[in-house]
Amino acid sequence: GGIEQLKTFVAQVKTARGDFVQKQVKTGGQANGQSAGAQGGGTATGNFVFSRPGRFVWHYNKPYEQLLQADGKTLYVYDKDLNQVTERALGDALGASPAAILFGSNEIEKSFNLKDAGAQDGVEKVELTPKANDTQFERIIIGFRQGTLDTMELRDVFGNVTMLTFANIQRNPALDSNTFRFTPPKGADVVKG
Amino acid sequence: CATVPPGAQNETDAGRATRTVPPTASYQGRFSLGYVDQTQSERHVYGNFAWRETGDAVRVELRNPFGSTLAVIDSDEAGATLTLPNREPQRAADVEGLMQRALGFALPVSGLRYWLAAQPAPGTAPSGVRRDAQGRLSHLDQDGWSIDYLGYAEPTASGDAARAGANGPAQAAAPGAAAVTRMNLERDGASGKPLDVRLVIDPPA
Repeated sequence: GGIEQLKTFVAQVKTARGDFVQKQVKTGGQANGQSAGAQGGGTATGNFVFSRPGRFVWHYNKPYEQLLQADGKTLYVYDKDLNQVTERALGDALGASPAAILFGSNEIEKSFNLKDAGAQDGVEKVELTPKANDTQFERIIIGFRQGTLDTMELRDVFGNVTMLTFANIQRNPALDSNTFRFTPPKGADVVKG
Repeated sequence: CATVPPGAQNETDAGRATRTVPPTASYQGRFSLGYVDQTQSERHVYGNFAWRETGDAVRVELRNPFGSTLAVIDSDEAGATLTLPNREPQRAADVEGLMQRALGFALPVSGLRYWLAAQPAPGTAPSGVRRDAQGRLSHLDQDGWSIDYLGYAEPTASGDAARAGANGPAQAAAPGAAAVTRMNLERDGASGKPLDVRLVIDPPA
């Protein structure tokens, strides 16, 4: 079931890379029903690479350039249009966020309750609900297809639902050592978050 | 006044012009904000925002890149409400005081309604107004804020912005008016906590 696939994934997949599509599926409590997507018009695409624990590159390239990168110690967020890098200690910056599940340490059950959420056209799902009650997320549902990450549905406490769909996932690729070393782009301001 | 560049006529009577509030306007994009907190240390916040006006009501949602909401701010003449995840909504008469207390920084929501539409806010007379070759606002000082307009979206294929300019002074808030894509706002320390705000606004869909 979903729980077993999540545990296997977390245990066996130390590094991975792939592409993602992020869609704002439902935006809760809109003043006039218009969906104001988190990313332009609600759909963003990008690619990622991670190495557990705590090292990842999560790179939005459409509709605009935004990069989240963690080298195990510091989380960097670079926005090309604003020409700025915001830097903060990784520590609990991930909290009970999707990043923590994919890239954090693998004691997922320390911060989430897990529940099998059935299977649908070949995708086995697991529902994660944060144990702490001050997190932004109400519920996260991860889908696996033959043991590989397929989807992640994030529902925040305001009812906004973001759907991540993954593709071209490479499991345990060899990564050279400075894959996660961050150097600020030339001319960008670096500020403390 | 056909020869007057679009919008210029608005400046002279900006104070007196009763600005029709755009019925509905919405903007979304990203913000970066630097401010000094109570311990006098400089702090920065970065994220996505969704801004929606319906008549006099404004809703601002601040979100992180993964799409989850960090704060929802609602403001209209009756007052303001601010909701943080898993917290009871907080209410106050004025939105800026409420934001300052709850978040440690305050966005000039009442001014932004107009500044986001590239026009001076009514009420206080703007100064330092400069416009670019197409008559679009490039700089404005108002309410203690120094505002720079760094980018506009190209008018849509149907040349809305140009059409708006053709029939007399452009109603800057009219649909199809030049859409701001990049602006910076700086508040000098004199009139309150120093704060600098950078906004990138997604071009209208």
